[in-house]
Amino acid sequence: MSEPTFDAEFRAAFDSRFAELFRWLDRYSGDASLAADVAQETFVRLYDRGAMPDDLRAWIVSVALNLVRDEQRRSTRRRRLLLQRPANMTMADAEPSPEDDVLAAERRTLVRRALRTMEPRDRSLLLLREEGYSYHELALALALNESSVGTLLSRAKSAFRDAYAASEGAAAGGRSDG
Amino acid sequence: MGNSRPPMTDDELSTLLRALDRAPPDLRADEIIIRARRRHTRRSTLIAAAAFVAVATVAAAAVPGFPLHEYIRHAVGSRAPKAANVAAPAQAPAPTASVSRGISFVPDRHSRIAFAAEQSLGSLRVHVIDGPSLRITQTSSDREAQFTLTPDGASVHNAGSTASYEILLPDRISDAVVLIAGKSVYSRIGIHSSCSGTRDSEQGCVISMHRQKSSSIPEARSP
Repeated sequence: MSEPTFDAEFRAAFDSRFAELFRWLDRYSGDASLAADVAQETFVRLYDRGAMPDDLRAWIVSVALNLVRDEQRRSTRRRRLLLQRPANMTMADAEPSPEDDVLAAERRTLVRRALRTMEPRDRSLLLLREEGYSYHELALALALNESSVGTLLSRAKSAFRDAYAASEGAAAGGRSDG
Repeated sequence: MGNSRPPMTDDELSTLLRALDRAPPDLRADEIIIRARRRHTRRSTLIAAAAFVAVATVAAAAVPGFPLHEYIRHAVGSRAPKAANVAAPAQAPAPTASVSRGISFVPDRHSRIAFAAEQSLGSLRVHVIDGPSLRITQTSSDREAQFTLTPDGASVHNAGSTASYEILLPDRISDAVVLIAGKSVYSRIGIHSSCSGTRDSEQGCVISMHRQKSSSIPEARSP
């Protein structure tokens, strides 16, 4: 039994954080259906909890990361409720021209490839920072020392830049070979 | 040619990441609430059924005249060798004792384990394991505590006991809290845990059962 105030808090948390969590999970995993499942399950657990955690954003990321690990370990995924709405799972870019479409698809492939080569912690740091997480929130969510977050983040960005450049180089090499 | 391009700026990096974005599922908070409540009802029913079976089993083992006890004795006796039947009466009190020494269940959400009281002696060890069940056991023979399931975990009625305990937490639990006399002594959020005691060589958290200092760990829910 939840009190009405908690229900109101939960609704506000859902409205302000669900899309952000989905976006981060989708970028992190490269798997929209996994991201949808995990985002939903994270909020079910938040409601089950019956009380808001002290640091909502850090709590959400901790739980979601754990669920992603579980799901990836199991490899067989439950696809439920959310996938009944495939129309919503399309790319966000609106009406691109065919050339734009090809370029955008290529860029997405390169970005995903670069992210995949990164260490999970670096990837989390980079993507959560992009979602506006503060150093304090990053430290809480990823169990890091707050004073080392800046250095680790800087390394994560470098790792992404290097990986992206390598992906681009490999793609360009592939094209010129062909 | 080569690396003549200037290094990628933070803005460019953000633009690249945004290229990945897809629209989130069209879902409302009410749908999540309905799903959570449905699951809660299902779990409460399972707990009630499990509690009934546990009570019936304990009663069957403890009360000689209980019909289920007779049934089990006949069922086992009809298949067991004669020698086992002869030896059985000497060990009759044992089953009751072993049933009350711990509790085990499969949690699927936030778990809250509450020890009712501080003790003058004894310790508690919390260890994360790879497995589905959460197990709480009394590891020293002493005045026995009583273990009961609650909708969100378990409670241990340990007033007057000086025993030690062990909690084995399945690693899939993403939100767990252990309280002694209402004070949080251990919590786990995701893969991260906070321990108000000391870590042993196997990364178990060992906490004294007596005189709990006020903890800085945020409590999951007020007792």
